[in-house]
Amino acid sequence: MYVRVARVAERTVSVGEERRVVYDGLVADETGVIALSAWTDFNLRSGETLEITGGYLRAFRGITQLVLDERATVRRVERPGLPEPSTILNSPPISMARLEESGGGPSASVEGLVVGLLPPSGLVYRCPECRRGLQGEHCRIHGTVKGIADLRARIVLDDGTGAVTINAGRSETERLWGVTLDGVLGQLGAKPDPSIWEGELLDAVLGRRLRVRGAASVDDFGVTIQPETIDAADIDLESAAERLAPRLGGERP
Amino acid sequence: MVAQELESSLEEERGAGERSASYVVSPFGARMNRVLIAGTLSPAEPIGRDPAQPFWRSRLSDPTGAVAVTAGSFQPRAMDQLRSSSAPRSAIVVGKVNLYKGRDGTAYLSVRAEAVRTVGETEERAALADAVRQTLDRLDLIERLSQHPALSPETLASHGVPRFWVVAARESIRRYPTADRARFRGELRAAVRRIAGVALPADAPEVPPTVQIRRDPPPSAPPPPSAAERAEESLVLEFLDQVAEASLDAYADRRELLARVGSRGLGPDRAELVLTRLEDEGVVEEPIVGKLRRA
Repeated sequence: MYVRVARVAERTVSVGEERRVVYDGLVADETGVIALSAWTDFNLRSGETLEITGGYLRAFRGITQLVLDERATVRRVERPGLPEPSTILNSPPISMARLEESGGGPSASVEGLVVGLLPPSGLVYRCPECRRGLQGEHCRIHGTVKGIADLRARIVLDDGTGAVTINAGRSETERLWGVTLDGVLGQLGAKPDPSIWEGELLDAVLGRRLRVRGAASVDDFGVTIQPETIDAADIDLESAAERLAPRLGGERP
Repeated sequence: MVAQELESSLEEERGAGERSASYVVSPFGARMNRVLIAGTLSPAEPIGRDPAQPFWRSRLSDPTGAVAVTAGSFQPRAMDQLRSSSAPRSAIVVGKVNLYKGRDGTAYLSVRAEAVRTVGETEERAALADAVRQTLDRLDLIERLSQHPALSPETLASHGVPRFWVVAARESIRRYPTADRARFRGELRAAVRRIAGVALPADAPEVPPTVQIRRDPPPSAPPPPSAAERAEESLVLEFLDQVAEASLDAYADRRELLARVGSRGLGPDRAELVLTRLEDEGVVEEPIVGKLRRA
């Protein structure tokens, strides 16, 4: 296949005892975009056009990935007509109904209003070994542990055609909330109950218009997005009104 | 949602199982459980007599109408938010719709708040812009389905129309055969002016009266039909059988049926009401839109 590399980044993972470097990215051709996971260093660079043979597909957390290992061949080729990285990475938001119909994708963009939060949101405690969320002081793999405090937000975003769950990590949550983890921990004496913090987070984000881009997966619980970017989205009210006015009818003969 | 659509909603669809959701069906294509509304929230007043079970009510108004917003001790955060201001303010509210039906068939919709946020005026107008756009999208879908009853959810989904919108639109059409949707569309003008930031002049006429919806008695407790109504029903059923028998697919085409009974003096509005009643009573069903048969 012939693809354009829209983005690639290096990441270190643990496979058993071993530490390995993985090159994660996005590639695209005229027909669409797919996540890439290269376990061999092909020295990939954003913007390159490649001919790839010998890759394979796997589903990882609901997202289909093109995996390249040492059996894959990558050649740099000239190939006109492939979309530019900026086009791939800045695709306009699509409706949540369409996203759900399409089964998700590695780089989906949606826009909507925050209508709620799913638990656990706000202040959470994670296992020091595996970072899984704790039930009380219990990790389902490592037993009773001393949890590490963290912030997260599972945001329900709705655009009228459907809803998606956005799993926001600490830095995104702090930015949306305007409250830091240290700030929360500093007031823990006065507000020890995590549900208080979930409520305060909801009060801060309810009804806000967000544009979110990330990997979207669909399962029985609906659409979930692991966000790469979460931005406040403003709309131009005057042009919105201009678009709506002709749809009101009435003036027609 | 805009307030007027909520005010105009008189029909409820109760879930069958113990845990299944129930919905309120609007005349304008919404089938709602939770809603987001934006507007001016009035200071809350306490209602209910039991001090151990506090319950508060505000009104949220937008340029199309107003709806009651309530919160009790099961929604402590929302209740605190409702009580937090003694002056009207812009707010966004998310809550569950609750339809109260009186014995006389009148219906009264309120929103049980789950979350409330005080917002600036720009944010309120932006949320209103979303509500109006989605409302118009739903009205467009109803229009489309009325003109092309055979459009399948699959075809519509491939054009980006959510499947649950199609279900909702069909329920709306069925339950409110006489709703004046064109008029409601026009009445959204006040909301669009507000989105554009045009202040209504002080001496502007009141927002026009809401869409006239027949406050039919709730389907669960219909009054016994009169002899005249029974006669209309048998006329409709007689022709339904005739039309069905003559058709290739054994269904009675709705339009043809309406034309036939019309020729016998039963007007289309009246005939629709009779059909709705027959459908509610489980005598007639419409498994395909526009195609009727005996249940």
